[in-house]
Parts: sequence; C-alpha cells; structure tokens
Amino acid sequence: MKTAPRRILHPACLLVLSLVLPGAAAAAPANPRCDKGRAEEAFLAGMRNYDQHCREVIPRLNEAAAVCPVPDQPWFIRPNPFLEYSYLPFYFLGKCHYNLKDLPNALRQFYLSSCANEPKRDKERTGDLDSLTTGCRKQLKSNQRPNAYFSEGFAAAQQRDWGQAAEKMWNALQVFEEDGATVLPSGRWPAPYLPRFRLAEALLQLGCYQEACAQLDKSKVKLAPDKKEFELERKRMGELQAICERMRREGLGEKALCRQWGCWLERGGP
Amino acid sequence: MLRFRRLASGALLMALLGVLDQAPLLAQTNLETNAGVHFNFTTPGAGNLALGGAFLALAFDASAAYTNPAGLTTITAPEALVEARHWNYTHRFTDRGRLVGEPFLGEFDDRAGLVDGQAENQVTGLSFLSYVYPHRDGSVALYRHELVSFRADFSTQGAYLDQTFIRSPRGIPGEMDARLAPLRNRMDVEITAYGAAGSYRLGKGFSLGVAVSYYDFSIDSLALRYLPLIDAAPDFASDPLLNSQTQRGDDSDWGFAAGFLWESPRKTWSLGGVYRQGPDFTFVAQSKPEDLPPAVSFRTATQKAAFHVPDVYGVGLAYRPIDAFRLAFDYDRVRYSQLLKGFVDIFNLAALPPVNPQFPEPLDPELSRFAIDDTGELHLGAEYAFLRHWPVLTLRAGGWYEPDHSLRFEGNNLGFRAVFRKRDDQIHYTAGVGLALRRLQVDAAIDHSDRVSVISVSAGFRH
Repeated sequence: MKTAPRRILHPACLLVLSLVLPGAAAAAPANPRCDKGRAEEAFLAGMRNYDQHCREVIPRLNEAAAVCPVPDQPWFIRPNPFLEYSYLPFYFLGKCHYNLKDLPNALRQFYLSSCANEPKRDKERTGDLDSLTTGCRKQLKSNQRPNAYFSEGFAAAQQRDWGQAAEKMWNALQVFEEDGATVLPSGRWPAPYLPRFRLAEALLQLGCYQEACAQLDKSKVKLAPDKKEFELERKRMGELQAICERMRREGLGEKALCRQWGCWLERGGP
Repeated sequence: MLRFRRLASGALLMALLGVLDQAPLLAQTNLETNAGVHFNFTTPGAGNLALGGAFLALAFDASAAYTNPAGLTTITAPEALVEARHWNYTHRFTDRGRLVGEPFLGEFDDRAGLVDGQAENQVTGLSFLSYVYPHRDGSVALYRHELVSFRADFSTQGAYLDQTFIRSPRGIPGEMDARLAPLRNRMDVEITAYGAAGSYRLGKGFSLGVAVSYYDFSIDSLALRYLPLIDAAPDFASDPLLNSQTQRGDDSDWGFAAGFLWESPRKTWSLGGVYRQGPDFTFVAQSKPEDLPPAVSFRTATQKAAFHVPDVYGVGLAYRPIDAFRLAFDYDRVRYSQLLKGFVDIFNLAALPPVNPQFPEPLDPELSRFAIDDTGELHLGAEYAFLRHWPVLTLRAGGWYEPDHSLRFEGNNLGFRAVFRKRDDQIHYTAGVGLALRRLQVDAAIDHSDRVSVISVSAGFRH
C-alpha cells in the first residue's frame, strides 16, 4: 500500500476552501477568491479525459478546486455550442476516485461536495451524490480484520507522519468503529483498536485542536479506565487532554486545514 | 582481486534480481568426518522457527534483517531481537559391518551389510542479535547471526569392505579394500555473520531490501586412525595410531543478500523472496603419518581446501484471513552442489607411495564421483494469537522437509562407497509459544528431526 501522503486537495485549495466552509453544512458564501479563468482551464483539461483516464483527471480537477472551490453561483462551462459542463470539482473528483476503487478518497470528496453545497448549485447533475456516498460507506464497512488502514495509520503515527496518520485512522473508522479490541497492526505486536483516539492525537499534532479534542471525548479509552491493554493510551490520553484544556482556555486559533477535517468528521462520524 | 570480483558479482546479482540471501553447508574434503556431519540453516527467531522456518513472506520482525531484508519496511518502531539456541546434533556414520559378501573373518566380522553408528553433540549459544531502526519508507538494521555452530565428536569401529584377509597397513581409506581403519573424530565449525541491512518501500505494497554480511569462519577437526586386530573391536588405548588428518583454519568473507516483499492492499496476502549468496572460505587440510613403520610411511600432505557455503534462493507465501491467524509457506532452493567446488583429496592418494611395489600405479581418488544434490526445502507453519488473552498468547506449529544433502560417493572405490552414502531425507516438526506485550515479546520454540533438534528462546523489544 502506498504510504506517501496522498494529497486529497491541493494546499492552496485547502486554504481557499477553509475560507468558504465555515460550517460543514453551511451555505457557500460569495467567494471573491475564485479565479474563474484558471479554474475553467484546469476543469476543462480534466473533464476532456473524464470518461477514460481518471488518473489524469484528478490532478486537473484538484487544480481547479484549488483556484475556485466554490463559485458564487451555478457555473456552466461550455467549451463548444454542443457541450456543457457543470462546475462541480469535488463531485467529479469523488466519482473519479470511486471509479478507481479508492473508496476513502471518494467518500472524502463526496463529503466535501456536500459541504461546499455543490448539490444546491446543480441538483440534477449531483442527483446520485447521496446514493454514491451511501454506497461508499457501505462498501467500506467490514467486520473483517486485519484493518489495513489502521495498520498503515499506526505505522504513520510511529513515524510522526501525522497527516497520513489522520487520514488512515479516519479511513479505519469508516471500515470499523473503534472498539478497543486487541489487534496486531504491526507484526506480532499487539495494540488496541483505537483509531478514533489515534485520529485525535494526529489532529492535535496537525494543530486541529477543536476536532481533536472532540474525538478524544468520544474515544473508548475513556470508557475503559482499568483495561491493562490501554495502559500506554491512558497515559497519552492524559497528556492530550491537558493540551486540549490549555487550548480551550487560551482559545488559540486553528489552521485552515482543520475546517476540512471538520467537514469529514461531521459527515463521516458515527 | 578475487574478493573484489565476488563483491562485484554480488552487487550485479543484486541489481539484476533485486534480492539476496545466505545458505547452508557441509565440508569440502573426502575426510570421513565430513560424511557424518549434518548442517542446516534455520530461520532466526523462536517465533519463526516454530513456523517451520516459513518466514520469507512474513518478515515482520527484526530477524528479517537476515531472513528477508525487504520485510524491514513492515517494522514501524525501533525494535531489537535477541535469541539463544540449543542444538542437539545426531551424527550417523558408517560404524562397522561389511560392505561386500558374508562375514567370514571371525568374532568381530559378524554382520553382512554396513551398520551405522550414532553419536550426539550439543551446542548452546547466543545465536541472533539485531536492531532495526525504521524511518518513513525505509529501514536500516544491524545484526549478528550464528550461521553455523557445530560440533561433532564420534568414533567408528571400522567396517569390512571386500572378502580379504589383508589388513591395510596405513589405514588410509580408499587405498585398499580391506577393513576401514577405526577412527576417532572431532570437529568444530563456527560461522558467524555480522551484517547491515536496509530496505525501502516502493509503493503498491512492494518493498525491496538488501543486506551485506561479514562472515567469520573457523574450523578445527581432527581424525585419528588406528590399526586393530583384524577380527576384533578397536581398542583406542592400545591399538597403534596410524595416521591423522586435520582441517583447520580461520577465514572471513563477505556475502550479499537481497529480497522483496509484496503485501496485498488489505494485508491478507503477502509474497516474499530472497537470494542469499554464501561466502567462501579456505582452510588447511593435512594428512600425516603417526606411528607407521618406515616401510609404509608417507610424506605429510598439506593442502589448501575451500569451504563454500551454498547460495540459497527462496520464495514464500503467507495468508492472514483474520487478525489472529497466519499461515505461511516457503520454498527454498539450496545449492549444496557448490560444496564440491574445489573439492580436495585430503589423503593425497595419488601421491602415496605404493604399499605393494608390484602395483606402482598411483591411486585415483575419483574426486569427480563425489556428489551432493541441490535441494528444495519446503517449509510450512501456522500461528494463532489469542487476542483476548493479555499478554497476547500465540501458539505455533509447523514443519519442514529437508531432502538429504549428505556427501556421497558414486565411484568404484569401496572405502569411499562404504563411508559416503546417501542418507534419509529429514522431516522437521516445529512448535512454539509466545507471549506479547506492547513493548516486549518472549517466544520459545522447538524444531525436531532425526538428526538435528533445536530449542530456541527469543525476546523482542520495542521503544
């Protein structure tokens, strides 16, 4: 499994998106930063190959979403008099990932599409968004262990690759909810299945305090104070909770990236 | 220059195959001691030994540094492994009896057919140490591995060969078709590898790894031949000592290994492979007269002999249908035939003065008629972890098939035919138990076969 961080969105896109996604389900405000010229060029470059070459489409659509994640109003691009595209970068990105069987990334893009109000801009074209989202979630769900996402997230956390760790733990949660059962994520070394706790730790390392602290509160670590298997996590939990308390007191601002995580956690939460 | 060429060829092989590994061995002269000894090379780590040594496609602990360095990428935190082993070697050798015809000489010549003797030796040692440091998509490791820790100590009574009353005055095997000289043997062989390994994750579940080892070798063997009465058991205290052979030396060499590992996206299947280049050593083989009468004495023969550790290549497949259960299978091809490269006649038969001047022709040692086959080993193992038990308890069982790789003689010389014979293939049965905490694992295992039994205890640490 490829472990290099996979950009779900272009960094610039994250920055812009964070400005326009104040709340997960909020209506998209006017966006003065939408560079329509560049967005149209990138979007069309992607959509020309949409039916055949999704791998080539994804970078182009990511580029479009980066320069114009949410246009002011419904936007239809007509490269010629006989062809019309609705500007829905997240929706099409999600479908590309879905076609490539990359379900976690597809699900994330579908959630972003929803958070960015794309269905409101083109209800007809995004008519299958709910069914695609539900399909992704169902296909990801499994009782089967090993959970490869948890193993990869566990490895990424050990290497302090927090972005990768957060993504993989979120993926793991889509497959199987945290239950604290002992699993073997690395060789013969046992560890409790606590993807939510580890997601919280990763988000805290990424600077997303609100999201991290909310996940910590939901973690099973809190619910099993005597479990010997959780000894390391309980100790770490204490440290993380202290950070949360301090952040809540000081009310420090969060990084732009955290708004995106807010969307994913709200939509992809239990 | 030769060393450089070996290094270069090894590096080229790595580049071509993307893999490398180590091997097992035996001895490389026609001294009978070498026919009675039996080496094999099992996977380090008690947990892996208990799986029948099937670990190429798992390779997920610090022993992967030696077994399949590509597996180091699966290690997520710095990890150390230490292992102690106890070996019990059972040596089988031609002890007495008769190769040709029916018994006729007297009290001691009482059996038709050759009779095997059996002796046991035990060795205990710190067999493996390693430390792995992972960093993002790569890992590095250092290790020390006792590839061979072998001891043989046994005596033979001397089998009768052909239907003759003659005694061999010098007691050199292969010289006459009379009774083989009773023999007292002792042999110690040590090969220790000090190595470094590295691996890199290429993506799509595919990793490559390489290792380089510095091998330290020592051999010390002594064979003493006696002349008993023709129809009596030997008395080593009073029978004349005829001659002796020694194999002695300390040497070192480098070897390379390289491997690959592929894991399926859900990590339920994995496939691994390795090629391990065996090192080459030299030692001194000497045959000298002891208390021989001048009329039949001979000049001490001192020769340089080679000891080739065979190359090994193998592939493995592992399946993990659920978190708690693993099944692993390996196939290893061991190039035992390499043991015959530079094979030496320690007795220097061609240069011996004739015992009977009426037959002055030099003896032919028939070196080309000695043979060892390359073998294909099959390893199979399974383990189940009781994940609800804390510490996690794991039970393991397995086995492996080791085709015969004894040095055998296929020529006309009766003395060598009696000693260097094909032996039985070996089935090894393995079992083990392990306890795992978050930062400590302790495993124990046993590997039992008719000729070698191993007890292993290992501990893994994480920080």
